[in-house]
Amino acid sequence: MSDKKLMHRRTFLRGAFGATFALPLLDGLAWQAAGRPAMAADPQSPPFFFAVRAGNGVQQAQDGGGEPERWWPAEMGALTASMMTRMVDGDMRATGELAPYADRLNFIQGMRLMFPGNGCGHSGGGNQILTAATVSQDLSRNRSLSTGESVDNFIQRMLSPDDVEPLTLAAGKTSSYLDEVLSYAEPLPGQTNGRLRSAERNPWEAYKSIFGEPDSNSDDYLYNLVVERRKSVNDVVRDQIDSLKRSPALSAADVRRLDNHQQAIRDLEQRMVACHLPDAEIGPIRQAGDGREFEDMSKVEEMSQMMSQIVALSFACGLKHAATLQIGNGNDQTKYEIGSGSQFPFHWISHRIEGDGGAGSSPDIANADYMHHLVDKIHMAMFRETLDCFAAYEMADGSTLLDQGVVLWCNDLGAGRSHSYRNIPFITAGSAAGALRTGQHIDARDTASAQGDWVPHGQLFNTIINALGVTQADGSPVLDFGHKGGLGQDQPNGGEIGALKAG
Amino acid sequence: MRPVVHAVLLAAAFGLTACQGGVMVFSTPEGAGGGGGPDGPRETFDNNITTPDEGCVGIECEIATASPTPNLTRLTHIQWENAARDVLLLEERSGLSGTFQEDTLPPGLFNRDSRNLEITNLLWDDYREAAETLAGQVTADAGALARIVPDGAASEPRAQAEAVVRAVGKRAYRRALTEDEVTKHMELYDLGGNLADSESPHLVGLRLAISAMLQSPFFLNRVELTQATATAPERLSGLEIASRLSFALWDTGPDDALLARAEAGDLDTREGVAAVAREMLGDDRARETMLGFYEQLIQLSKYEGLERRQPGGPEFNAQVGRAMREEVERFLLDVLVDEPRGLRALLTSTTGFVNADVAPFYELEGEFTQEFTRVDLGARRPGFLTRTGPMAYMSGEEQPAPIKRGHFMLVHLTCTEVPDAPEVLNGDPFEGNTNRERWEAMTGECGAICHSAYLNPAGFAFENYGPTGQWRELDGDQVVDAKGRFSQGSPNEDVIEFTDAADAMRQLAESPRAHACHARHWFEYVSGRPPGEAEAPLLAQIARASLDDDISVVDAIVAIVTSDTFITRLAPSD
Repeated sequence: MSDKKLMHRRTFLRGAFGATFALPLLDGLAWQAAGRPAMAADPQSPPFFFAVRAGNGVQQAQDGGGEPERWWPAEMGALTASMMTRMVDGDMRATGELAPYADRLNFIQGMRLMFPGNGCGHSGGGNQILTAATVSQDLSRNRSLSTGESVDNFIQRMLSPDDVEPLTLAAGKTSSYLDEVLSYAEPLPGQTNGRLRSAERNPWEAYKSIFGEPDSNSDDYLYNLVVERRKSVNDVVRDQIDSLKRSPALSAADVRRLDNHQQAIRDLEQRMVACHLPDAEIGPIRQAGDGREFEDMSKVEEMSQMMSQIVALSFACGLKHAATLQIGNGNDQTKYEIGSGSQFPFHWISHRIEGDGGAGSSPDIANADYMHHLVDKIHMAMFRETLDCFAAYEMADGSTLLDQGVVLWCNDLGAGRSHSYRNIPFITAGSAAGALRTGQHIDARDTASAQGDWVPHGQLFNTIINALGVTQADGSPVLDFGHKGGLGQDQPNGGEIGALKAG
Repeated sequence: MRPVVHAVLLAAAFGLTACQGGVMVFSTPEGAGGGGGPDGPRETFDNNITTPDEGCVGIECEIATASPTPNLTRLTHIQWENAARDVLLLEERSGLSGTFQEDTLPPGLFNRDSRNLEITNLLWDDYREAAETLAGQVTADAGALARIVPDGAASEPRAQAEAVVRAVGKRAYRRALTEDEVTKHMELYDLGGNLADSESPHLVGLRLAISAMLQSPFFLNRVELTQATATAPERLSGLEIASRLSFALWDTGPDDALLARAEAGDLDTREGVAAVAREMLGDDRARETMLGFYEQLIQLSKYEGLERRQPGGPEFNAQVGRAMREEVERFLLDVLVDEPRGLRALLTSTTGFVNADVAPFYELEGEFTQEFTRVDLGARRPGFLTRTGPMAYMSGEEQPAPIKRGHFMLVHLTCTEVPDAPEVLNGDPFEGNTNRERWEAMTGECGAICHSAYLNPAGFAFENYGPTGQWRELDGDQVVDAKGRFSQGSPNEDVIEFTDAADAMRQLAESPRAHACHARHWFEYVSGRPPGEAEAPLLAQIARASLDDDISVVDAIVAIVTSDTFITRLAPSD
């Protein structure tokens, strides 16, 4: 490789035109020695929302039929590593895996899914978990759908009207019974059901679809040379578009055309310029696709991490604003390596019996609640790796990408044993650039509008949406995301969860 | 066994509205607010024809109306291809647009429809790659580079680069660059030099500057920045008119000479525009544009890929298909350009151009070579539509396709709206003694309103032309029946009753509706948008002049490009 030094990007621009340009986020990216990108401070750093979903509920005391509490932190209030790692019957509680992120997390109890499923609890939970909307009446059981859009869809389309598709990913093997449950586009006019998205399970395909295939033919120096040349051309073109847009003669439709042109330049620039993971990380992703490893359920943890890498980079590059990652299929049948010799599918373990049916329909699984706890720990470890991906992007002010948005972990059921819709486990990570308080273990019922004994979980989405600076079309805050009444169901209480809001 | 027709493609209509209404309303252009006033759309092509001749009568009248148009009109792919060639003074088109993301089907008739032309992410990627490729090719080829260095340019590299930037930039942006733009492109040139690595700094700098020009919004769009309002049309600048003319008539940007004439004020008057337009229409570049109109109507480029067989007839193959295309092109250029005439000649002239490949399909006597010879094809072959190529194109492999033929005649010659086939029928084949009988049996079961009154008879007029376009008296052992009557527009209105295709063509040539339709098509093609209400008087005027005075297509185009709607701009109402 040539040892020639390239002019620094910002110096280059200043030298070129004598002025500092409002550059897209990626213009500030530079690869650090560790192979991780550092992000220059940018006042327009885009907000993001990423939801990771697991299924089958968690092993918790609520609705657990007398089982011990092994999931939630040991105490309410300011979150500490100590309360997260406190031992239960000789083992660390599951959320202890996240202790390194204690100050950036919120654990939120006291919320439930407000609507009944329609013949399949897993499907009904998945229908509601990110939509807070009712379950379809015309389609039932494992074919039921949400009647509304999911929060990732709403955030993506509101933040990026020109690219309304959130990233929809999944880790783990498919099943013939219930696959994707998570991301919904809004219903088409005149229709009552949302449009369920299929999820990309192949990380290599996901990577290429967003960033394109990396150029492996040139060395870094030559590649950067081409990049610099292209970017300098783009700057001139961008400048021309800006000057055109300032023309008083221009109609709104023509401004939109130029916006499209500008967006196309930016998207291409980001894809071709800086939006690639280091080779050491691309290699396994490519192999996972080429070798069909994503179809191997024993690789679900690796796939989760790869997908998280892809999502984090897409956010860092400003290419996407919302994404979802579904772990396992709808009623997760993954056989997790929990070190006890168990080869039971997780769904069986969650029911505590050797089968997919209800209690008593098959022989019990001994220590199933503990096995479920071990699976929970795996899920929490996977989520920690997800957070690692976001924390790896450092901003110039010392914060990280994680601090710019919200990463949500949720399960579409509450307790595994009962498959209930109560006390749904929710964890948020990240402060949305300071709009959210973090480092708390709270009960939403203390600072939100409960309905009956529980807080409708749509209020969590209201809080997140507003924290991200997303508003309704008229600019007002969102206070009633999800179900808007009808279909035989009352509209749940709206509002936000006060304890999560900063200031 | 009797031949059968499988019901696989029917332009049948179960719904009656469009067929019964049967009239093309004027479109509502972008931002016009639309609807044609409180009573909704009101102008029809009948109105176009029958509008009383108020005030000034004749093609020379000035009609001060215009429809709103955008500030930016993206180039079509062929326009990009031509413009890139002409900006860089290449010897031929690069062909790079062949890899561009294809535009979706236009909402109107032609791919020039500005409503359909956007820069998507994928297309931008294509533009960028093509710009880099072309800039690289030009700077890597000493001969190509020498062509874009203006005469008298300094030999010192930077000074020469600035001369190139000014000259190429002017062709690319269709106006002189501002000094600020020159400065920025020269900064790019300088920066390119800094990033040259082992390459020549001068060439890398030029490459970047040229690449930037080809990616500029001023190159990729036809830009009009004349300040206009939504209520009062404003006259475009001479340079903007030059661009409109050039893309309309040449499918490329204005060359140095046209830009110079615009700067000299030659386009500041209507008479000046007319004079320049007539000169441009006499240029070879206009011939290709004229043919582009028909390419999109009758798909000339597809003839060589057809597979057609007529029992006992000469063999049809790709070479024959190419000859049929050239035959039609020669005929069209003869009527459109060489001896400028109008719709009557297009529909009735029996002049033909044949060579050894295509002559057998006309059963012409005499010796023919590969050279095309001007001949009179006789009364059976009036106009372009009855020539072998279009007839073969509008056929199946072994039998004519009367629905395609009827659909073409109604939609493209009379602007009668015919809905798309609502569904494809698959089922038992239909029987009959002739192709006509089989199609009648098939279409009698569905969509009879459209088929009986419109499509079938219009298509049956051409039953004497077999699947290769060759004349036939018999269909099997039955005498071909090409008689019929069809309506233009509403049922039983504007009825044409005919004995055969030649008779139908003669009557169409005298049909006010056909002349109005012809005017509309040329307006849409030249303007890159369908006409709005504001253009109704203009089109009525052209149609009447075409009908009464037999004006040529060239005259019609000149009338369009000298009208207010072409040389002024009205802003959309945002």
